[in-house]
Amino acid sequence: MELATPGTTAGETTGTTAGKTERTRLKAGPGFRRIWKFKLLYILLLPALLWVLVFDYLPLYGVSIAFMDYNVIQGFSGSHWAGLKHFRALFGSEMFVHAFKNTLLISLYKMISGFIAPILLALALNEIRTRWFKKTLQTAVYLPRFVSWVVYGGIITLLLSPETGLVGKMIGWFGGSSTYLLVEPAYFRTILVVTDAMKEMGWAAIIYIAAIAGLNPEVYEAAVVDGATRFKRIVHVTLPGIASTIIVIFILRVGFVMSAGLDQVINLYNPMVFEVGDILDTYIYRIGIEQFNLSLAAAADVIKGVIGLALVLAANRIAKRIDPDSGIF
Amino acid sequence: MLEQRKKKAVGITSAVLIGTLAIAGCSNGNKEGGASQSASASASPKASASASASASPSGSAGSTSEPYTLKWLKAQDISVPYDPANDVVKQAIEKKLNVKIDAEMVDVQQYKTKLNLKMSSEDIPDVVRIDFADDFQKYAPLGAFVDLTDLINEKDTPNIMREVPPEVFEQAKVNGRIYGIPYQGGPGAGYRWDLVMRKDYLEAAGASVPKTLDEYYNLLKKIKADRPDVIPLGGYTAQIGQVKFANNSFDQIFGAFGVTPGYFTETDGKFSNYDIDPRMKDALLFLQKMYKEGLIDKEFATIKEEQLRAKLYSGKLFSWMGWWSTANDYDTQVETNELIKSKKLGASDKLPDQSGQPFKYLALTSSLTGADGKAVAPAGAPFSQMTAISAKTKDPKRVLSIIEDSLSPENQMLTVWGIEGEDYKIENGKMVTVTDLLDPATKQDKNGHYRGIQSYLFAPGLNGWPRYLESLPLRFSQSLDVAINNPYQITDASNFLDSPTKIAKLTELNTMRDSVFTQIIMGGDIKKFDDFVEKWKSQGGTQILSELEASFQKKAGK
Amino acid sequence: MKLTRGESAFATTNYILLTLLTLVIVLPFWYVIIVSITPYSEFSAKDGMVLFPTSFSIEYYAYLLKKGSLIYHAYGNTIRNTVAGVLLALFLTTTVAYALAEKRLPGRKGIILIFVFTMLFKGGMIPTYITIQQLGLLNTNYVLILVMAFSAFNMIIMKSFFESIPESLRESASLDGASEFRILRQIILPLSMPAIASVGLLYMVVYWNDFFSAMLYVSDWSKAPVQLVLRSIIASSSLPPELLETAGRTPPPTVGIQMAAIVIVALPMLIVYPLIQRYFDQGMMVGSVKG
Repeated sequence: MELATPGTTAGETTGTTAGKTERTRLKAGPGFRRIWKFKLLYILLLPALLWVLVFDYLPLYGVSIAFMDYNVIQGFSGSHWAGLKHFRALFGSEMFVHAFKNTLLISLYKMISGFIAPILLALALNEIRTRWFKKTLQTAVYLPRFVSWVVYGGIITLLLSPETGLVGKMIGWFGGSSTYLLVEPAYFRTILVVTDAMKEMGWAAIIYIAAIAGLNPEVYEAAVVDGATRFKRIVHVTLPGIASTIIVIFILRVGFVMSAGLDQVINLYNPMVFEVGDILDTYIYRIGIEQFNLSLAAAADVIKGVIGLALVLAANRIAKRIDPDSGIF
Repeated sequence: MLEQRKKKAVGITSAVLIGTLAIAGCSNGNKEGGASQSASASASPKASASASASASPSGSAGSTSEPYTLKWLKAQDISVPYDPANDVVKQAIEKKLNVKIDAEMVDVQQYKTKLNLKMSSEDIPDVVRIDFADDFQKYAPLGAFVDLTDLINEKDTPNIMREVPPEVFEQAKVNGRIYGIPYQGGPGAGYRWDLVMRKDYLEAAGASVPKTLDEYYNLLKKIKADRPDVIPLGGYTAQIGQVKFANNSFDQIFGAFGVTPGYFTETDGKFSNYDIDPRMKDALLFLQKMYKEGLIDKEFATIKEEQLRAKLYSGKLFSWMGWWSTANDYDTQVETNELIKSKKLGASDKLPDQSGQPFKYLALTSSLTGADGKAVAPAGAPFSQMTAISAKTKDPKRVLSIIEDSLSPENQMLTVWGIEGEDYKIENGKMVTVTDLLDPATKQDKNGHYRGIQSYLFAPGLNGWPRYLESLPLRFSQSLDVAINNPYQITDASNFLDSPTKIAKLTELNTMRDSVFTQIIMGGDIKKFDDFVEKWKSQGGTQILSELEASFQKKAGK
Repeated sequence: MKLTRGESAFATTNYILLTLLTLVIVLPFWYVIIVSITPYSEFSAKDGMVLFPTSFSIEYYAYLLKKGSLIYHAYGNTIRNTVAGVLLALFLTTTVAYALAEKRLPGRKGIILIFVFTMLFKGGMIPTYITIQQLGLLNTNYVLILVMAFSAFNMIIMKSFFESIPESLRESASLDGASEFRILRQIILPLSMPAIASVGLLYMVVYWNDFFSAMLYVSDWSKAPVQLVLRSIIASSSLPPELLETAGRTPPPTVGIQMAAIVIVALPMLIVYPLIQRYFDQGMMVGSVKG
């Protein structure tokens, strides 16, 4: 945003040159004056910064309990320092490590499919010409968002039920034998990924739909004039147009790789698929029930956060290599 | 998905405590019930010397002092209208005990979470009702509660001593000190499950109620042959975090082999666990056979209790393990469904209350005996909860005396049953609850007041609340009777013993067990059992056993 | 534009596939609606597989919406919280996103990091609870509005939208003598409508669906939002029997209540979304740039 005083770009005729001059003028100034030029922007930052300070940073002291043996009743004054004890305990637990691996795997699968699906959906929806049809479809696909995993999981369980389930019956039509899919370790991760995509893709697509809406129609018209087919237009106009959005969302998602979907797994999993389905969050959830060990839980949180942050930064750097203008920083 | 991920990152602590919330009910180890403070019926007068009850001269009871304000966290069923400001029973209690009850309502399932939150902030209720195993044992050593060891004795608190004998207080001690008063409530301690069967199917098969495992097994096979659409034995899956495998669904089968999953055993000071007992292997093999032969619901490992209920109502189940208080509901529902099927009732019609009638469709029995003519059934501990006084309350001694006061027989009747002559009557020496006092829709009496019975009480009811059995309608007393008088019930030998490793590791061990046992039942290789036993021992089991033994010696040596 | 044969084949396939996909996605929701109006007797008779019921019942809705139920007041709370919340959230988010979209802002990277950090590291439920408590916000009318009013995630998305507005537009406008605010109003804002609408929608659904924050911070049922009330009603009807030593209280079976509850809560969102969708129409550009 240019903070040049209105309309005083002294005498230049071409836009770009004027801009450049402005920019150089601003850049050249000494530090404080630079900041002063942007004062309006800094003011704009304040409300949210304040909010974040109060609601996110104040409670952050809670992270320190990961390094203590936190005594809930006595509070901090009554709790002893424990250093890395909890971290060592976590990494030493066979179940933790196993859950860790599962989490990575499941998140990876979900990244691939669950990330691509909404994009494809948005692209496909964009190609619908009939307004009302498009609107109806759009509304319809975001409906599952309102169904909690408690209920959604129950529905999936029902559909996959060996005898009465719809899915089983359909497999029967095609000649296969109806197996009890939900308890087969081989299928469980697939079920997780597919059902998650089904539930969330309509929701995630909203952002891409909005991004597509922001694209300049003139570019499309130009492409048509150039003789590009629908398909070519999608690949060469739409996709590049929303590329920056895609990358940003990708980087953000990468940060959450350590959370593979607690609600979903809890409501779908069963003892038979425990080995492939137990994720970090469910592991900690169980520990939490028996122990109410806040310190251990906080330590796990820290591990998740650190890894997440590292991944975000790494992903951002990679994105910048490809296109210096992309990324979130 | 994006927002949800973010919310997940809002601290595993949240997940931890959401978990506590979601499982609040089941975390009671599903062996004992009574966590709720909402309606319930009273207990049998187990001839404890009620006559000698002195009006306690201990401490307050005095109208001389100001009413003491008690901050109270009350678990309340939100779907039912209620207003503590307009509750005549509450007012009567307040007057009698000279207190003012400042009640905060929280939904039953959120009770634990809210309580934990309050314990961690400064806002602790003055008196709390808290689970022994999960929460009390953790909070007490942290200094959350008042040390009552020197305050509770025959002289100062005779009512309390009458309700809770010294041996039980011994078991409730943490680090050798008394931090709370044991609580059970309802019918008191004991086994609560019945083996339930469809009477009509039973009779059609020309059989009588089986007493042994073999009889039962053959019966199931016959039912399967006669009625291919019916599932002979239904089961459902434990919620995550539950201690017990399959939620008691197969108690009767395990029991006939002399084992019950998850329980610790003690013989001559030596401890073990049924999970690693060789007889468990036999039981699992038997269950595996049953599953293979289609005698057990294929879906038992994935369906929840509600889906079991759905099958039951529509007649697709022959037998299952049923919690005592559900038998009436289930029988009524089955009857309703049958009538709807034969068009005698409309699709949404309901039958009136049937609890005074004998069972029409269900037959109840207790344990099946095995080859040795014996069985086991997993009963809950003598008490599952504690009433504790917050260390931050203003006048702990006064609070204790209020509790003491409330346990006089007269006050117990008031807090449990309400006002005599209005909420209940004594006819011919038997108590009768007045059932038409409240309007079913508004839950108010004809003067527009609420009546909070069994809501503001401390009555431990270790052997059941006073006159509990008397108050039960026919079906309930029958189903309770079968369960609670099960001659083969046992308790977990590790109850009330100290074992830090148990607190730290038992969930993992149990999760492993659930996984392995389910796999075996559904056809997995029985060798997995041996692997499991080794893992159980090496991943903390042996440690737990030795700690239990040490704790046992210590307590016995006292 | 005339469509070639290939193009219409493409279009048709697209329509068909999308419709199929939508049906699959909507199926669970359809199930929810159906179960909420099916009498339990039929539900259990069909083992729960009811897609086209033969009889109807409003027993679940009647149970939830009975006279004097907390739901009505709670609904008002939810609406109020959501409207105020979304406005606040949009304000907070848009201001920051706009400011940070300026790539030359000194200290920008650090500031962004401050926000990103909060996405991944949280103090935890109890410290947050205590903070809220210390601020005196517990159980107030504002707490639910404030507590969810900002999401760094959404902010980054919006920032990226702002960043994608071409520099040239602004420059040519300021060349034409437009003031800062005029640029903002006439160019930036209209272009950002899809972004604002979509992020607004994201916040709206979060506010609307929230129950966890309400459970933590609200103890007065008169301030409770509808999700909390519904969950509690459902929870009490679905408690495993072990938790209640009750004799004789039989609510309608949980599953029907759950489904009816979902419908009650989702309905307004179904109505709102189509209204917002017009902001997602492509080419919201006003006063396009020539040259």
